[in-house]
Amino acid sequence: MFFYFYDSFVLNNKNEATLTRVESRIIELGINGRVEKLAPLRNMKELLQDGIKRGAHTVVVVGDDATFLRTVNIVAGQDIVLGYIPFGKESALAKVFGIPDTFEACNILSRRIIKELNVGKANKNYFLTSAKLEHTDGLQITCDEQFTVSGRIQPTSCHIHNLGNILSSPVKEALIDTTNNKLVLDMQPNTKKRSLLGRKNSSSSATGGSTLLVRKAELRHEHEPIAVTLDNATTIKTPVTISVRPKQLKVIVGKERMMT
Amino acid sequence: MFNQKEGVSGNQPQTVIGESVKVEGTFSGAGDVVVYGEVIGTLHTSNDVVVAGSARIEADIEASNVTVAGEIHGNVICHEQLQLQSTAKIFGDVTAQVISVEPGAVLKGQCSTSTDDSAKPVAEDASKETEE
Repeated sequence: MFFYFYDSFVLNNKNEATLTRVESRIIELGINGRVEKLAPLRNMKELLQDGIKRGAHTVVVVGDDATFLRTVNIVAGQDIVLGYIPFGKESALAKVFGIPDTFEACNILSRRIIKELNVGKANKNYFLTSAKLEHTDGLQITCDEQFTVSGRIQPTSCHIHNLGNILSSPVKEALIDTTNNKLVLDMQPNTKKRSLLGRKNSSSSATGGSTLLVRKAELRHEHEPIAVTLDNATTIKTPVTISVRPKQLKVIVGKERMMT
Repeated sequence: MFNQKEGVSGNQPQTVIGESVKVEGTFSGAGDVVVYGEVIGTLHTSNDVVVAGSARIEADIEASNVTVAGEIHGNVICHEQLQLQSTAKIFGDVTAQVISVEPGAVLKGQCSTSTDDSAKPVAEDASKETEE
């Protein structure tokens, strides 16, 4: 059974024509199902879990990347297939999944090409793209229970990527490797230099950044908790244990997807 | 020379330890490793290791090919080739099939080369022929 979950902004007047067209196409393709709409007083997690309890095997997120990523945190690890109809500003996830536009997303749902993706797990939360720490002052990162990583110069920013830094940087044409079952620990010094003209340039030494492939990373701070932001949506505090969970998310993708 | 984007073999390095980072413990990987920063403990990979001029390593290293321009306090085992650039400093024993040393490199320790292929994995077909 299909379960369509609409984010609240999709119901705005400016999206009305597009939404009507999408709904008509869904009916034409015979993939219509139950619809729930997010509203200010309605809890997203409860709505989704209620829909799944009622027998939904495919949850289709109608919204933007933030909506989709919040849904991942709720449904990852369950035997549910996720679909995506992107609305609003240009979607980085849609590009990765091979969904060219809102209308074509309906046809892609109908074709039902399913890709199993790895997700990252941070304590009890799941994330699809990356976990971010703004600084690593006093932070100890233990990787794979075998070695520790620490910054020699401060400040250093730290990202732990699953799919990659697709939310912050333009999606590159290279395919995203989804088969290596590892997370990418990316640490970059936040050095800013002034040019001769006194203008600030943010640049890091070509050799300052680090990239390590890990299966598990434990983040602990000596004295005070540090915020860890998952998918630009959820924020939790250290201590955090982040690990890769292979093939815990099934997503309907298009032929032009940008992943191996 | 030590382009962050390329390893010695020309392949995309999977691990880069930058100048701003210190790694302590047992690091074991399968891809190329490029070190610009600090490593303490053990560094092991089945591919290649590049130790840049800014790197300081207090660890034993084992890899296929190792190219050194920085400082290593520890033993180095190469299953293929060890290259010491002019700024390389190694304080420990080294073992490799082929060793290349540029003028100016410092090596304080025992050095052994071997033309014996027993350190390499033997091809399955060849071993079967021998048994027959």
